[in-house]
Amino acid sequence: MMNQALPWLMAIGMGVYQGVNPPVGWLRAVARGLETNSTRAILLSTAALAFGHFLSMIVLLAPVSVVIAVLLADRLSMMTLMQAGSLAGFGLIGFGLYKILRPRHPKFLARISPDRPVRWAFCMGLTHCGSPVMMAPMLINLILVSAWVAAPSTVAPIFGAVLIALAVSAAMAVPLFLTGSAVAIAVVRRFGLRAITRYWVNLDLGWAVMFILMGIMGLTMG
Amino acid sequence: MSSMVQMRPDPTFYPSAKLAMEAARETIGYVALLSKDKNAADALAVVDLDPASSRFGTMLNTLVLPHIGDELHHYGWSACSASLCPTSGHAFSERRYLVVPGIRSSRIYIIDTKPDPRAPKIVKVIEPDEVRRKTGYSRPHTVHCGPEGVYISTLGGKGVNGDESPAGVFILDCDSFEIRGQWEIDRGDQFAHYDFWWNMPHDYMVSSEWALPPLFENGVVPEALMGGKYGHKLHFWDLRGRRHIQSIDLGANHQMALEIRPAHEPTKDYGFLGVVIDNTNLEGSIWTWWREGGKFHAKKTAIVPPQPADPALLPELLKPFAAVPPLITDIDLSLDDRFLYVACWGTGELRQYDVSDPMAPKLAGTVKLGGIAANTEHPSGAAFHGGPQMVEISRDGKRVYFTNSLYSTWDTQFYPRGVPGQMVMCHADAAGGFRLDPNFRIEFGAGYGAHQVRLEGGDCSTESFCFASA
Repeated sequence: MMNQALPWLMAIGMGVYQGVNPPVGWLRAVARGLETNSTRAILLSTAALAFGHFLSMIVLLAPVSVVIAVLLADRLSMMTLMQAGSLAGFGLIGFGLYKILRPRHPKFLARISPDRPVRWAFCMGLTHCGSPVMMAPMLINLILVSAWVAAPSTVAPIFGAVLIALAVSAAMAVPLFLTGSAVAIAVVRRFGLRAITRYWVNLDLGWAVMFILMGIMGLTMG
Repeated sequence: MSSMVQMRPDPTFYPSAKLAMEAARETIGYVALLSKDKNAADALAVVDLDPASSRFGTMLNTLVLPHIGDELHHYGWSACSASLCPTSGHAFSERRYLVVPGIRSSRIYIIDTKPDPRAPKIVKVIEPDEVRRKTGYSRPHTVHCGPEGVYISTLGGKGVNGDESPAGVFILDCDSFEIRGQWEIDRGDQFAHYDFWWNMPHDYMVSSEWALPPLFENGVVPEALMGGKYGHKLHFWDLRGRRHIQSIDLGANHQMALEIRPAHEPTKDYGFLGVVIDNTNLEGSIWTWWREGGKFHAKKTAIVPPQPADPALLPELLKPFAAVPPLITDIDLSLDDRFLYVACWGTGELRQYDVSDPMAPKLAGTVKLGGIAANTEHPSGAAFHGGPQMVEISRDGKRVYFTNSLYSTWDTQFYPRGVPGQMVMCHADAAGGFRLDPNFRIEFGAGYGAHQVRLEGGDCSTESFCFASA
């Protein structure tokens, strides 16, 4: 069993990483900030991006947590679950390799109106970033740990599992919002637009590598 | 062949118009050359625009195309400043490939400008059959890099004459250069097509109409012109939704609605349109269009009158009128949205309007060169055939380049003595006013006409932005 704090730190780290990543965290907020000269508009925009990302996490992690909670009812399926969790490592490695070979955004993302940042961030998180996929093995682990720790009679297992899914999603989305807002405000109020091209590096590549590392971790710890 | 993903955005992608103006000046340009000889191929010329170079103001190289009869016209970059838009997904592409359509052949060349921008190479050819089969369109024309990749407008639809179905826009993948198909989901009452551009953050496209191919491929058809059969509508579209929102009919006397030039500043909801000719009085006109209260509007805001001339000096087409129409065939807007240049190809004049107030353009300067009756010489003393036609403004707004050819069959009608290709340069003053550089004049030879100019690192008719200039 891995350290219990690790999944939470991972989620927070993912949030900070994507908060720094211009398209995911703050680019649209800078555009809105320059158009309106309003800090409120910047924050509304980063909030929309982070909320869309939160929804993309929960839409996958909530059902996964329910399935896990149901399967937890007997010991046999629990063993299967642990094996499935480690097998998911192969999935993560595969997704990471795919991201390196095909780094482009899915084309349908460009069809989403710039007036719909929540929708765009939701689709972006679910497809291009694959954030819930990256977090799924961690979620499985957290629920297993909590099931062992908690007295079975005190918490309704399904409710508890969904709560953990919500918490993990928030643990990524809140740092994403805070980091994205800080960067957007700094660019608009201090560094100016030139910072966009000066400091923007391709963070997608690092993200893909993280998938591969997470996959390897899942396999070795399974 | 698809370009490698970069680790940093291309340094020639500029977040805002202001940053594009402040970037390093162009040192080379590309010019579309049109073969006058029907048995020779068109070419893309590379010209030296670096004043520090010993070959400044000369042609460095030509890339001769492998096919005959393409008729190069307009072309553009596969990636540009639009790639930096928040939701674009193309931030790590390169300004590297020129997408160069032939409007007569419907063939499209993908030309690589790296590693040596002075020696571009063809890396892909999309054959006319493929364009027709995958898009239902023909005669590809304007090229813009944008949210969904490369957008290409066409002048023709299906059928031998391209008039059996509407002309429109199609999308080319900006990495693989595979055709992805028609852009429009709902085209409303749009049928003919010419130019288009957009406001990306405000999510709309604006398009215009020249005419269907039978009305231009063999030359202007005078009866059709006098009968108001050429395009006279503006169309407004939902850019991401790909749907027609509204059309504005300018009135059937306003024949040939061509270049669309939106303000580069994305916070401004207006732009301009050039109309070639009014068939009731031969005037050319400039229109301002704008968005207000959720609706689009358009108004004629400047006119250029025809000039009376001795019929003996005029080609057959114009003799009955004893006048030369200005023929506004191109307009171009400086990146700071302050100066609109208006090419009057008939009268031989390039006008500079101060459009600080877009509803009231003020004539700020004028350059006279060539012209059907005027025949104004270049200040170097050399003859200039044709008139100012395709205009390109440097990003910093200080230099204005133009060429002299319009379209093969039209050149012959309006300038029967021929329009050997030339490119000249003007210097513009910050406060308004501009003049020809007597020392800059490039001849492309009697065998070639010269059309669109593209400048290294992007120019005023290629770059669009998602960020307001701070």
